[in-house]
Amino acid sequence: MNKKAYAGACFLSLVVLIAVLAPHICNYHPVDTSLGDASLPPSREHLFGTDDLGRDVFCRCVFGARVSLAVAFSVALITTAVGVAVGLVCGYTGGLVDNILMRAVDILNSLPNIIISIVILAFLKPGIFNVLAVLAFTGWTATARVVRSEAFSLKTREFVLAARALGAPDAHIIFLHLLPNVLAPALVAATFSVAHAILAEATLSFLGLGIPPHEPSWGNIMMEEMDDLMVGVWWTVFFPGVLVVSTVLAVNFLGEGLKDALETGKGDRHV
Amino acid sequence: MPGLYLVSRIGRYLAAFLLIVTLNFFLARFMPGDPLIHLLGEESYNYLYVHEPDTLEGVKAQYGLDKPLPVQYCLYLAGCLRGDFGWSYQYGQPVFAVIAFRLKWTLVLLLPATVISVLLGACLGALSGWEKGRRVDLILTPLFLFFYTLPTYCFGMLLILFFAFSLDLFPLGGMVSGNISGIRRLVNILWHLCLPLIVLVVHNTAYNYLIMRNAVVQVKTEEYVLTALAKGLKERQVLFGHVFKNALPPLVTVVALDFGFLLAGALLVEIVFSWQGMGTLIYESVISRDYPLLQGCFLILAICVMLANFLADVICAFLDPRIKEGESNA
Repeated sequence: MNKKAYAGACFLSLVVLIAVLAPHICNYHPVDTSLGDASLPPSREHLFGTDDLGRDVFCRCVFGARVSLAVAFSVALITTAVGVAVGLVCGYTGGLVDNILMRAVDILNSLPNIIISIVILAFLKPGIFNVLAVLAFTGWTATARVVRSEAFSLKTREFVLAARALGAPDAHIIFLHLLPNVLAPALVAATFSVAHAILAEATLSFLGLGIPPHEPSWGNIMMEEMDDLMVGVWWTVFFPGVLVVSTVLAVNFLGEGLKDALETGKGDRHV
Repeated sequence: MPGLYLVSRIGRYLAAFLLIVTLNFFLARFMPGDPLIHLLGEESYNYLYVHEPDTLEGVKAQYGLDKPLPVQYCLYLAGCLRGDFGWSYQYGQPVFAVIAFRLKWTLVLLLPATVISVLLGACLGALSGWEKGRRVDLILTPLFLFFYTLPTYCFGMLLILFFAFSLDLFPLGGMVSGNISGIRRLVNILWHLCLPLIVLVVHNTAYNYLIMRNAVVQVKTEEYVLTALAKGLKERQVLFGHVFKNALPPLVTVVALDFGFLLAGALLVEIVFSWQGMGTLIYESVISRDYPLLQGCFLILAICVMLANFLADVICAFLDPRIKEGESNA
């Protein structure tokens, strides 16, 4: 199998492990301030340096991984569940329901997700739950599309026709015949939505609309220290940035690998 | 008939527009608290609430908030169609006027970036797709994959740090220095434009590159390419005469379809570089809770995105005869 996918999976597992073991890895608490140690460059004492309040950036990044990953995985879980449900119903039943739901997908897709999220979140209080809800609301369409087209082609296959000829009810066909067969593409779509959610959460938190500042996430670590950049404090932006990019790349590689492994000879989506 | 096809697309965009207006309408009315808070701003609302409850009632009537919901909805829709998006309390100006000024500056940043990145991305992507697995591809693809993933604000901040702070080659942000006019002002604007433009061009080129590369990889396997090669055409001739042309429609569609994506990237770049366009406007209106302004921005951006999409439909309908046939058969 694909080397890149293995590398991605290894890196992702490492990040997850670090996030899980966060309290055991860090010597400092992520929100403990120490003004005497403000804005120190990276050293052996503070691997990623400290920010303007003297908080250890390494610890903030490690604890931030918890928040960022938790948000990303939850969003992926919700969007996949919704996407699979909508996709199956649309693909199998067709007709009016399909038409309405797919137009909704078109409309949601025709606008940049991030702008919809900004506008909705501006009305809500910042918080993990709201971020989750908004990212899920804007994110399910890709999965729904993939699953729909899959269900659409499955529906005309012989085994489905056979099941129908034997008098199986629709629910039986959807759950026992279609669902298992769309799980592979849904899994691939879920991987990509993890990547998407990590970036989206970072962007929203960077704008101050995502995770509130007392809870470090990769996005808001960068946001809080943006002003410090003007005095040459690069480490508070650089390290969380590297983490976001490398994690997203790892997830994407994993997704590409899964896609190649699960649906060989099919699929023509771009990277 | 491309005409029929375009009409159906227009219908879809109208539906999208209606949906956005509806979302805007309900956001302001069904969020917790009196909708007037969102229209007037918290400060003035609290002041009026305590000191002049009568005026508050008057304002309520003026905004039509005392009427039943369907009537309110129709009034709101009519207002939007007239270009009346309400009043920005942060600027003390009609929302439309504020946006019109800012949109110009976003386009100054976005249009050159789009043109450059489409050309660059299409050429490099075509080359890599053609040479898949060879050196050009092996170097460029991971590089652009990296730039595609790198958030624009992150990249922007690192460029500021290096080129503006450490090397002092470019300004830290802003659009133009004061007290200059004429040609010097233009040069000054270009100087300010450099870094944000680089960020956007790199990011968008990466995106276009990846799409073009994949399109070319697919087109390459078509029989007519084999025929062209078999009849002795040079590789470059086949690539640019046959493959490039057929890989272009997907790129055009994607570029226009993802205009929103590019726009979102531009908005974040603006915030990092204090470029006074729509991005900073949205950011400011979020921070100062200027909801009419925010919603106006949302609506205008949505319209821009839809116009871009429509443009793509038109271009593709003329570039790709299959669309015409497909629609008339259906």
